[in-house]
Amino acid sequence: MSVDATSKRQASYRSLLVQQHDSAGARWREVNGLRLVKDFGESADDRTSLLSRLALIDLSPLPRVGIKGRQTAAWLAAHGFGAHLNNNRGRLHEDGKLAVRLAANELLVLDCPARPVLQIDNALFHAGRECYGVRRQDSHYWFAVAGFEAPAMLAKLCGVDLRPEHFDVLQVGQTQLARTSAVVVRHRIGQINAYYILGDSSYTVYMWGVIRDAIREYNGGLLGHAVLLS
Amino acid sequence: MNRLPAPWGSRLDRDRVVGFRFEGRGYQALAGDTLASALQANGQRLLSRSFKYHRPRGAWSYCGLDANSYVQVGDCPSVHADELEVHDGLEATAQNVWGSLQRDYGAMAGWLARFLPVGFYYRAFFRPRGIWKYWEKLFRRTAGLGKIETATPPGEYDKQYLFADVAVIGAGPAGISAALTAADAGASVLLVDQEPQPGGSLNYARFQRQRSAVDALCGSLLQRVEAHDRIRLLTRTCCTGWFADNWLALCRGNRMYKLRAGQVILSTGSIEQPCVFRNNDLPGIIPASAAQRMVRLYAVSPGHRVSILTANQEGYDVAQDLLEAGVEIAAVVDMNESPVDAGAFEMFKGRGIRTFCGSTVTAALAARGKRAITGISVARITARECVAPDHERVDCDSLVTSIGYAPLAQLACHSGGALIYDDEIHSLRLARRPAASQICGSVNHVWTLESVLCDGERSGRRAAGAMGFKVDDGPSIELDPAAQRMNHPHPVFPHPKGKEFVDFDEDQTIADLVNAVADGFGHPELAKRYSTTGMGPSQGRTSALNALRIIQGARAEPLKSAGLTTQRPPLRAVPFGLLAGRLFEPERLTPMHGWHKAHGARFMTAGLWQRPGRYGGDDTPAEKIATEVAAVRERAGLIDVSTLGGIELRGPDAALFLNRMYTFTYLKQPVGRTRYLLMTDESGSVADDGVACRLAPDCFYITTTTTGADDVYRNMLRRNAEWGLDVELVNVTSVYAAMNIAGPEARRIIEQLNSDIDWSAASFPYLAARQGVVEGIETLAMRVGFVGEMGFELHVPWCQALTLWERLMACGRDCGIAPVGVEAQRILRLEKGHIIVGQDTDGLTMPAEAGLEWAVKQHKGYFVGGPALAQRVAMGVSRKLVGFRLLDATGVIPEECHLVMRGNEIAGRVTSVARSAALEAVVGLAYVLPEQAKVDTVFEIKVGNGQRVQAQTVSTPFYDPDNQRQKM
Repeated sequence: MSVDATSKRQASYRSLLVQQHDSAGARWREVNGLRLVKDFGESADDRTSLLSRLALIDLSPLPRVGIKGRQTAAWLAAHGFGAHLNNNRGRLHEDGKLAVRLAANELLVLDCPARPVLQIDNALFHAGRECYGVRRQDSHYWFAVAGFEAPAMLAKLCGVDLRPEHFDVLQVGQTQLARTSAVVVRHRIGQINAYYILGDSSYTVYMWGVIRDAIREYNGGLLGHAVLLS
Repeated sequence: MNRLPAPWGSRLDRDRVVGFRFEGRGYQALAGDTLASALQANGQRLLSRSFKYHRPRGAWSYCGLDANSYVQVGDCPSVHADELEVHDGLEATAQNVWGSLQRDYGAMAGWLARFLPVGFYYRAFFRPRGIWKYWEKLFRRTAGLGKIETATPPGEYDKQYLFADVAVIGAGPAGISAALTAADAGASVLLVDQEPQPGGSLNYARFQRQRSAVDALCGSLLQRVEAHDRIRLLTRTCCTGWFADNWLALCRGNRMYKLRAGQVILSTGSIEQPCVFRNNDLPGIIPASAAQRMVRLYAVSPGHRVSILTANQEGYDVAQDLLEAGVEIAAVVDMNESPVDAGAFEMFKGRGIRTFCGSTVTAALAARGKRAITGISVARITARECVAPDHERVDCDSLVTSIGYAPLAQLACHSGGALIYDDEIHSLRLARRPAASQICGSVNHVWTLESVLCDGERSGRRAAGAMGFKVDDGPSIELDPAAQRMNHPHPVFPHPKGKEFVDFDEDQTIADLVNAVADGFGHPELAKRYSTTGMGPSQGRTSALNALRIIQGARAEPLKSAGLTTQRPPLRAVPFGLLAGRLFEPERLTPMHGWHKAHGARFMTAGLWQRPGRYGGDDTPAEKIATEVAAVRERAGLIDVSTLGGIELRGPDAALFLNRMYTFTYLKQPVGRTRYLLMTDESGSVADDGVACRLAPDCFYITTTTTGADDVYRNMLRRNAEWGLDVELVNVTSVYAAMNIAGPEARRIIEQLNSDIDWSAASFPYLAARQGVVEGIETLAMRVGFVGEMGFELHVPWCQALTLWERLMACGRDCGIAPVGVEAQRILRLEKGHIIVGQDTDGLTMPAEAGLEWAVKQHKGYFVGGPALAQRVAMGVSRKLVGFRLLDATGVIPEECHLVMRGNEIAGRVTSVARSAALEAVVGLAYVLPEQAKVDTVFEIKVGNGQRVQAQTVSTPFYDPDNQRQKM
């Protein structure tokens, strides 16, 4: 991950949720060349309160990549994630990146949302079968759902028990969310319980709408990237 | 309002009066009242009419377990009046009423009862032949209870999963004890109860002690529940189904919870059974627990002068409750030879209450119109189903019965539990529990309060232990001796004048069941269906036990050997809205969707995808489609083909893998070239098609049809695992979006883009593929000819596709580029004679039938479907897909699936048809008989109105037969 294809890409990158974010009052900003929703005009207090209760954040513009092939274990070790990682578990890099093992020969690497650092070498996508990249930034949306009501809200969409006492931090569920396939990773935003949700990009608008609708019951709301920096 | 003084009526807020209407008349109630209790307080017992004979019915169980209390509330039928909490503005009406509730013409059916014996409609209405359809209309009108309002606007319903280590169904004393024990052991517990307040019988029963002691115990238990952070209590929640692996359906308000529990503790209690005697269904006759609920929870008396019929201690308890409440007791009738509670019996006698032993009620004496009772007839029991001829009349306006219980164990039967009849306790007993479950309380035939609490504790321990929490074994419970004294063995007393009801829902009497047996429907399962006993909304809760006694008696078979009827979910009526819940309707959008929408696209679905069918407004769609077709033929069109499936194959065996998956050959396909893909299934039928692009010697990128992508990928994964080839597969459908720019101006437009690809015909010929960077975007470009014009299909990363699309539209503006939808694309490809898999093929089409034999290379060795295909080809084809042109292009145009005829025989069908502006003709594809496939053969197509139009077989492509335009 040494050659920077990320910044070149940003010029032509288009969020699939621009209309949805704009109509919700999004204010945008650039972070490391990435165009992100900064906030939705909420006050700092409201932001803290929402994050604690239930918030939905679109992380889709942030870099991420899939790593496939037989040498994924070596790739993990070479990139500072340690040697062994069980299936359906994630591990954090010291710089905040997260590697998630989806299968014996498949990884998903997510950038640190607060401080995006992931640089993806284009050559990775053209490498041989032993270890090659898959453009997960294109193929998958990436949302975060945070707050103490998140497990209850997700239980409206998903049959997996995601309660913190039953679903560890950095545990991964490859499951169905509102009748679509999704990857759920338990994480934290600060000290707040959170879940990363990733699914097929073609469902981005659908899933954003479904989750927005589901969080209404818990007085949840939308937050932007600013909450990750606070 | 006629109320007992406080402290009677624990659920009432006496300071809040609410107004409601029933049958158009206004009433007042207290907050906390149910509709039934509020009406009782207002002197209105009658709620609805029964199903068959329209007999007057009032609330019976007072806890929503029977259908006697059904009323209509607004557009919602069959609402339990004894559960429905009254609120200001509530309006309810009676159900199943012809005329008025007080004067129901349907009650005349009762006079005809002797002509309407069991199963009458199976025997009486099918002769003469064809008569049933007339009778059916009458029966359809009479069937059902409430009214369905079809204009009801959709409601908001939702579903949600819940999870618990231990689920406790029923928050009575046993359930609470079990929940506390399991939670204390460390388990997360979900405690469910259908009533507004937990506590079950602790809220109203006497348990042979002072109520104050029961109240204190109830309060302390509920306090512990409330304070326990591992117990979640859900009241007003009904568990309606128990499915495999402890998946329980919980209905609460407008939400259905789907509960997954490690262990389930069934503490649902039991339901009292009616005594079967003449007129036992009339308003005013209720079980003992209902009477206790009325006085304790709602401060209403069952009547002014009440008689008690009992076979157990509970009857004595309720008599004492009523006396304490100041209700006049007319008589206490104990069915046992010696009184169950001799002390109380003597006390009643001492207070001037008429007392009877070894006796029963043989009939309730009906008031005028049968809307109430005026007394009961009592006689000594001389033998099973027999009474002495001397009857004594007791004047009373209410009868409270306590003759036995049936366990509410139906839920357990949903999930593998089995009930049997137990002679020792004269009741049904759960002989087999579902896996990972416990049972406690009166559903387990444990009755005395201490035993019930202990039984709950035992269940809680076992459930927690099974979930891996450390627990002591605790004491084991023997059969509660009280269980043997709860049920009368045969509380059934036929009356010479009949009308002894076994099933209140269906108005089934003793005679009906006896006749069912006599008609040969003796097995309980057959008798149930023949007589409909147990098939009503109460699902046999109040009828199954007595029905079993009567049926087995009529068969002269022992009860123990009786086969029981099957219990199926749902336990009680569930609104369709709850079953449907929130509708998740996933739809897939391409990255250009917003652009399409902004440019007036009208979308059409393809699988889950939304694709632009055409652009522009809703007016003159055919013209708009024709304009898009013309743009491609004359200038350039841009088509969003992102919905095509995409799969990447990497590894030295990638070409071999394709060779086996598809019918064509790929081993020698050059890098930088594309090749058609045709997939057949194991039977040799066409399954999918697409394009294979060789990116490197060991790397292919292939496309699939829009709707076939997932199946193809799944199938490939399975085959890859089976074959063990050295190849890796990745579904890249949503990694790459794609767009097809086609038309004579396509190259001129694309050359304006900033790219490192040489787009010239010499460098980038037809069927070639090139990788490069276009407008800063990594792009795979393919020369394709699906629409029959020079075209470039550009595959780019999903989230960058819109940028490229907009650039192409901008660059093509001067050339008159137009966005082109699926409708125009279908015409364009039809003009070229290209098939669409799934439209021009069906599940049985083999390649030779569809003119695709050129894409099948049997000599290459094995491929999926190859062996079957070889056999089918050897047998010859029975149909051919041909191009046709209508002889009269101005007449009726056939539609897809219209039939190709040869004389009066069906010879085939039309698969695609369109009017082609370029060809100035109506052209299409159709399956015809092989002998009709010869060019210039004229055949007939039967169109929608039965008219026939003539078509002529022509060779394809219809347009640009030499394929010069696409190779430019």
